[in-house]
Amino acid sequence: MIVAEGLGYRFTSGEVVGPVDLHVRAGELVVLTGPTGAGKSVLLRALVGLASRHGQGDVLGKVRIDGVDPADVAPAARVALVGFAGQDARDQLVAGTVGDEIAFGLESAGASRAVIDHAVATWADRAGVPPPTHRPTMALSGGERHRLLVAAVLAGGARALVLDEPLAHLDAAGTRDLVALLRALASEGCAVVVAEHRLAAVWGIADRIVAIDRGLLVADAAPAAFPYASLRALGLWSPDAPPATPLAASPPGPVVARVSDLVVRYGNATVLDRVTLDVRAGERIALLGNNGAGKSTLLGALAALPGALLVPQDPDLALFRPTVREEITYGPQEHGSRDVEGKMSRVAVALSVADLLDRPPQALSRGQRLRVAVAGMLACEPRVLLLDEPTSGQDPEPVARLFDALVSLGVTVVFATHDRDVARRFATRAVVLDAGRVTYDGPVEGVQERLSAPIERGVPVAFPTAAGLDPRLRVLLVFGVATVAAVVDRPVAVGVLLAVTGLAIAATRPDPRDVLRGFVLWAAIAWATVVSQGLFYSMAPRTPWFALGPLVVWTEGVRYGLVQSLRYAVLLSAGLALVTSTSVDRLLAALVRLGLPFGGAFLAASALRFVPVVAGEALTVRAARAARGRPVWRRSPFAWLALEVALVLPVAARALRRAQVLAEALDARGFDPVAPRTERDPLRFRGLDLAVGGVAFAAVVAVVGLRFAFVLYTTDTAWSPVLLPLYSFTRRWL
Amino acid sequence: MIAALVACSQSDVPVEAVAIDGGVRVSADASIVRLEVFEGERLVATRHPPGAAREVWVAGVVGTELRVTLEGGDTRDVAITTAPARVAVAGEGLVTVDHVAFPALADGSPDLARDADAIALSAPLWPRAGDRGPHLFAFRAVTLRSEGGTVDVVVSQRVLNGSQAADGFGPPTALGTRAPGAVMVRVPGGGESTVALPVYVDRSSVVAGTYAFETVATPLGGAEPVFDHRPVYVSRGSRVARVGLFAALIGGASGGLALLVGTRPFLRRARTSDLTTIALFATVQFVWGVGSQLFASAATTVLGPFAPMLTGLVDEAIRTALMATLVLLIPRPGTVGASITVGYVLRLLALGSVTPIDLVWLGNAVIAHEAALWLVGITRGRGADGPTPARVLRLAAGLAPAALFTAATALAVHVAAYRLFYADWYVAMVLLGPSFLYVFGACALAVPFADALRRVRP
Repeated sequence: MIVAEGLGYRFTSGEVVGPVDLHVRAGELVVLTGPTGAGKSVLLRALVGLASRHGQGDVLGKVRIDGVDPADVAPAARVALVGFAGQDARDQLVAGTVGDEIAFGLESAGASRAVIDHAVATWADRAGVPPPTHRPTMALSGGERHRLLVAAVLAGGARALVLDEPLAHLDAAGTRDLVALLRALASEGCAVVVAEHRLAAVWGIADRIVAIDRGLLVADAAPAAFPYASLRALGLWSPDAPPATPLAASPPGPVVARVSDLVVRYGNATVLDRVTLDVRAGERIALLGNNGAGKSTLLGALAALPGALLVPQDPDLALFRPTVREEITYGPQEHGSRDVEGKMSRVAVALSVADLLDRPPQALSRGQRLRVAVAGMLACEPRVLLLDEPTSGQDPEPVARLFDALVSLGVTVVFATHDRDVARRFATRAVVLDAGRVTYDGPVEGVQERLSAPIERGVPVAFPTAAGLDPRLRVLLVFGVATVAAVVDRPVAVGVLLAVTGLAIAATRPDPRDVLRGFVLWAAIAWATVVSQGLFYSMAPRTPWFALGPLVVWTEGVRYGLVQSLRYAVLLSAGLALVTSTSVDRLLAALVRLGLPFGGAFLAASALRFVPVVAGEALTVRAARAARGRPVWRRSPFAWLALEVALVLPVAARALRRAQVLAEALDARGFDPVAPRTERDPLRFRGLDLAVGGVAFAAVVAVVGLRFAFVLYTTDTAWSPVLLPLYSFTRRWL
Repeated sequence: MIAALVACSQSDVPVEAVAIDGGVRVSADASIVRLEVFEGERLVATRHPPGAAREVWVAGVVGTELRVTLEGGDTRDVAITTAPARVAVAGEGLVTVDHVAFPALADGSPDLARDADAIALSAPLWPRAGDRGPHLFAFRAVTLRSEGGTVDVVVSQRVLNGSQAADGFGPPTALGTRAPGAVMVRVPGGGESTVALPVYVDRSSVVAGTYAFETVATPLGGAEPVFDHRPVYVSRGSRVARVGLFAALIGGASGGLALLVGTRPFLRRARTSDLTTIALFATVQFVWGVGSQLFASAATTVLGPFAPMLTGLVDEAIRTALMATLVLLIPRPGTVGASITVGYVLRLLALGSVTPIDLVWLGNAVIAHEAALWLVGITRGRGADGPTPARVLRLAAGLAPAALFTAATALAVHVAAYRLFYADWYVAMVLLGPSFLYVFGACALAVPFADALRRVRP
């Protein structure tokens, strides 16, 4: 099914990965392994034809999947040839709902609606994603997301599946379910290639293991016949590896951080339920538990304690200075340390980043970035260091280097991880969380038996249904309201519009917090408008209200500003009514049907889907900075502004990485921004839509026509005596 | 004093005209559609009375012949002959100006469609054919009251600028002079009469300001005329705003056309990773905008309309820096247009912001930024190399004028669409600060940002 001969990749720097020969038969599951930097990812991308589209270098050798070079096929045809997915499912989901996610590739391929509907039902079931299929993808748990991703890339009918480290962010439950799905797919005749260094999880299901190092083949054999020594030489897990030897532990000291009976709720969901935890000096505590168990929340709570510093799951979000040196010295400088250079040198040497000091952190590898982020925190000499999933996406060797450094520095550490081997080797104590409760707190050796059955828990998210007016009509209604709001002048007319849009909002039962936010925004605009119009009103007559030195505030201007503010309120409330009553996907469909090219509208919808993610990342960077620096009020406004601006770079860098991942996901799903697509759920105007639209259209035309004629009359441009009553009506009411 | 009695020669519809103080009043029992006044063979005045007027006052005209066109197209030529007037003599101090309605219709009823005591004229964008010279703008309905017996009163008016007669308000005359119009009205004893005086405006010469109508009511036979002064406010649209609006509409249409024609080819050519980068930069810009909105709200509460000078540093400048960074990362025609468009659609999806004004803004922003960046060479591959200051300047040379044009046209559209008022100095301050000078700062940030982001590793 998959034939790669002499497969390799030459980077623009001249560095070459490969050549490697790889043959995968239908029904075979092959695990490609190797240490970080071995070239697994680039070879996989060359294998599925993405490297030639996304990289600056050259693909070497020949690839055939089902007899076809995947780099040569049109986007729509790629969907049926090979499925590809990378590490983090969250960044690769391209649609807003489960159904749209599975349907995306088939829509790109122009499949019929019947085929798409059948595929959506079939693959949602196979992925184990519970109905309804219009559930938002952001409401899924991590495990569900990854299974959905696999389902989505295979729904197009591909008989070959290539996955790059699919287990990197999954807990034990997610890992177990995904591995079972992959084995089942292979058993049904699918050729599966999985790049993975968490070999223990896939060893039992693989038909072959292929190990590479520095781009070259090291070994290729069935698990039973595999030369374990080669794995050990590469620093990877092997079945015959002796149990990890725990690092030496010193006796715990006094309590340095404590939470007691901690309860954390998000809305109605209890994330932490009466959690009590004492952290003693010198301890290395592993927080274990499934996705959603509350590990990150507990770390966040600990981070609020004095002397605690948190390295987020994504180390990029703790890096905001232009060089590694500045990153490490930031904390000591902020706190006025007399030994800035000494502290920097100690942690830089301990964490093996001393030779990187003048390089920009964003230009380093992920493992290096993690060590720089930790170094930046350690330079502040925290009483306790918190690490959120430091093992995620890392092979054992860099993780070991990191923890060895922490042990050598005698740092008190609390770290969340899914990797029990890491916990066993580096932790002095384990705390297991399950559904927000501590179910185990004791020696690491006792953990294995105490992990409860996995639970899948997504985020409870409300989502608008497709009921009500056609979304195209909704967009046009908002446009009509905005048009009328612009042309009318009388407070009564603007008030009527505001009442209409207010009723529309009330009908959608919005979150009161959204309404409050909208009101605050409006109040600020209204204030500025009233003041500006009060100051700058130039029509006569005008009456001074009061004067502030040379500035006179005119009564008529204030009154006019209030009317103008009502107009803004109409625009805001109409927009709010639209977005609270219509899902992004429906709006996207509406815009496309109204003439916007699919590619453009889709990009905007994708941008919107990532808004909460990017906002969360920006807050994380800010929190990381705040934890290491002085409070805002202890610096000048310009220094504060400069620091705020510096937040942009790490967030933009993260966006750039995410853009690359998303682009690969789209290309793997046959994305073509201009090609015709199948509409899975086409929009249709109904009788109610036509009636409402007709009435609204007539009203807008009437109001605009009246106001236009009125303006012509009042400016003495053109008029007719027949229309005098209408002019009077317009002046009085519009 | 001369009175003229006009008789209709060919019709049984009675027509009466009183010529007084250099004018002619014509009345008929049918609606008068058109009047032509001749002095000998020479046509000296033509009038198209508004509405169904049965009585027309032709001010400042002395004629010998009259051609009247009545409703239904019936046209008669009548000779003007003079006859002694029957005059009622007033008692001293018994006539008063009871009230005045301006603007009013020809029948003396108030014109409810227009602002009281105001003359609103459109902006003089360019000389329009027919603008020069007096045009009938409206009537003033002056109601006189007599506390004594019946009295004939000659009523005239003029517009004063201070204590002098204002230019541009005189009625048309045969000789081009600006003689005030006048009309005679009979006020019954103990009652009141209303007379409609025409108000003429020369649109080419009248300037905005506060003037005063001076009404002079002279009872025949009385010694002292009665004076009445009331303000009249003349406003004109801003020529600058009108030019800005015109530019905005042209720019908006051009940008819309560019989007219509160029979007599909751009999407077809672009790499998927470029498109997703554009999308995610739009996300970052949006998030930054939302975040800075909190700061902006606080700043606006304190500073009101002056807040943009401060918030521009935190909001617009950074979002511009992100856009500039994007252009440096993907220096191709279409990048900035796509970025602006995606950002707009994102706001539409998130906030439901879809107004005609937004569309005009979008077109202007796209065409201005694409054109400017192409002209300075950024999207033609220049500006990627060289010393940082030169790159910053080249980038700013494109983005600053584009941002200035976009902001200026947006302001003009807002002023026109929402009838807003801004002082010239305020407009200059807002445009030159956040929309021009701050862009240089944004570009100074963007160049090192782009250099750093080019080194980003997965």
